[in-house]
Amino acid sequence: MADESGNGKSSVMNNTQLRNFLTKAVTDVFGTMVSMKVELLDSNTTANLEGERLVGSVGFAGRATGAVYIHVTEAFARQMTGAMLGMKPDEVKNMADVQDAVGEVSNMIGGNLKSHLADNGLSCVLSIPSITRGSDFRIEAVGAAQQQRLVFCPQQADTVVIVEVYFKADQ
Amino acid sequence: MAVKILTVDDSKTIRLIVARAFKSFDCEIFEASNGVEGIAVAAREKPDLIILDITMPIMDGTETLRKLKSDAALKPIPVIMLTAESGRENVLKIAKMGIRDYIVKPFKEDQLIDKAGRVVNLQSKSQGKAAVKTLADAVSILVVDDKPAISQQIAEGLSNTPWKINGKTSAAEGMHEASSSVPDAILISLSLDGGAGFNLFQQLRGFAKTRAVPIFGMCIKTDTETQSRAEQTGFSGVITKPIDIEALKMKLIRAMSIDTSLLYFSMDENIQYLTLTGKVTSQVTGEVERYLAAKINDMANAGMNKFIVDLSKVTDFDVPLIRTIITLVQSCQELSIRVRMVGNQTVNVKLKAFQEISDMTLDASLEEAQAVLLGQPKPASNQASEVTASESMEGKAPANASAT
Repeated sequence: MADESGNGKSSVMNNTQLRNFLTKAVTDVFGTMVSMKVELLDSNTTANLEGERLVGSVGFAGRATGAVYIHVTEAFARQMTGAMLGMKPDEVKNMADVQDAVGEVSNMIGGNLKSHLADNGLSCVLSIPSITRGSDFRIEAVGAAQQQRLVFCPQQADTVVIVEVYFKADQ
Repeated sequence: MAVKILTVDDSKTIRLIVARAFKSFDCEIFEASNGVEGIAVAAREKPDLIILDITMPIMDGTETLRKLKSDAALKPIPVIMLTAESGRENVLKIAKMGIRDYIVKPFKEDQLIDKAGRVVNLQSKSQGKAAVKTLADAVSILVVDDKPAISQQIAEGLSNTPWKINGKTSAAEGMHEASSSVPDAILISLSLDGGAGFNLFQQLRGFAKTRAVPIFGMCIKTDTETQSRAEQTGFSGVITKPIDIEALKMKLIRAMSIDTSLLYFSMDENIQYLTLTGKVTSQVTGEVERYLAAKINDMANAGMNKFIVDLSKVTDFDVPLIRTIITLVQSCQELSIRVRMVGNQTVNVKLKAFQEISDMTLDASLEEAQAVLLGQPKPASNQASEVTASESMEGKAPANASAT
């Protein structure tokens, strides 16, 4: 794992740059598509998700290999979906729609990162999004050179959004 | 005709967002969730525009685009890529394959509309209904002028209408206002600093939602160079300062296709009325003639044959009104519609100055004209009130009018 001092292992971006890049990508995606302001919490935060949650993920493979995960509670996922589709959260009945919306948000954040990596010589391809749903599981990366865990607090919601990124670049 | 737009994206969320973005436009939206379906729908529907995602299962956007461009029938269909992947290499690759444009996710609906509007002619659904707007309808007019007094003058001058005047003092504020709530007409000062008025015009014309909104430039009367530049740039017209509110009102009415026929035409008990008041200018007769032929044809189709022209409240008029009256009488005669004309002494004296219609009969009141048309006795107070010679206009075609 890379340290938090900004001396990450990739020549493309150190951990501080990765953190800043992801913060901008996440705030852009939530601001534009979900019409919701999200604020990055301090890296020492202990905020976490309780109960049923959804994790949207996209992977990328090539000269850079890794994945982006977006963790949200099921209730907040409905709220996001409603905001994206112009509906109230309780009008969102279909779980497939919720999964699709969370998947699309992951795709946009992952696509942003993938494009940045490709522009810096680490060409790779993006996977289609997938969704993991449950209440008692952990995601761990094997062999990741860099990883980041960012916790965002969305406005008007009593929860957090957790974004995790793992990647390894060809040197 | 509705513009056909095909959205190809594996995400239902994105397809719904795309469909919602075009909701206020006259568009027919088709959806496909991958490239294979997309090509099939494109072949069947021949859309005017395809909005294509890149990362999709079964057949991705790049492969879909390659297949579209290798099919002679589908090749001409413009494609806008909608992608989360904005990397240079990716963009260059798809650009070389012949896309019209691309949009990077996340995107705003306005951005999509703006780019699509550069490729296809997007017509707001409300535009189709604009023709039926009347003077009783509230329309919004955006005035962009760094001098608030101008907006205020226009608002006060048009205060006898239900129109809402929204004044903004900079091009940036004007653009923001127009994009968030599309006005029915826009007035822009052409003396904003640095040619900002002209720049704003170009921005508004490039923005799909405001592309068809009438935009007038405003400048001082003596600045003919700016007026000429505005006309060449494509402004709907130029309003000169000091502003003649009545002239402005007429220009806005025409530009917004407002139906003003209710100002002049009315119907009661199977009789069609044309009522003119005050000074009848050539602008007014022009307005009347816009509707006249249709009104007379509608009467004939509805089996109506009685028409009263009420000039009793006219204070002044000239040749154009005479021409309109002659046109009206001749058209009615062709369709066996009986016409009576109501006038006062002022009208009578003036009519006599025109040889071709000097012998027209005027009734002194509406009641008298109605009685004649309905075959009833004239009202007692009007028994001897005809204001001119006894010959009836009915069945008598005037010669072509000319000023005397």
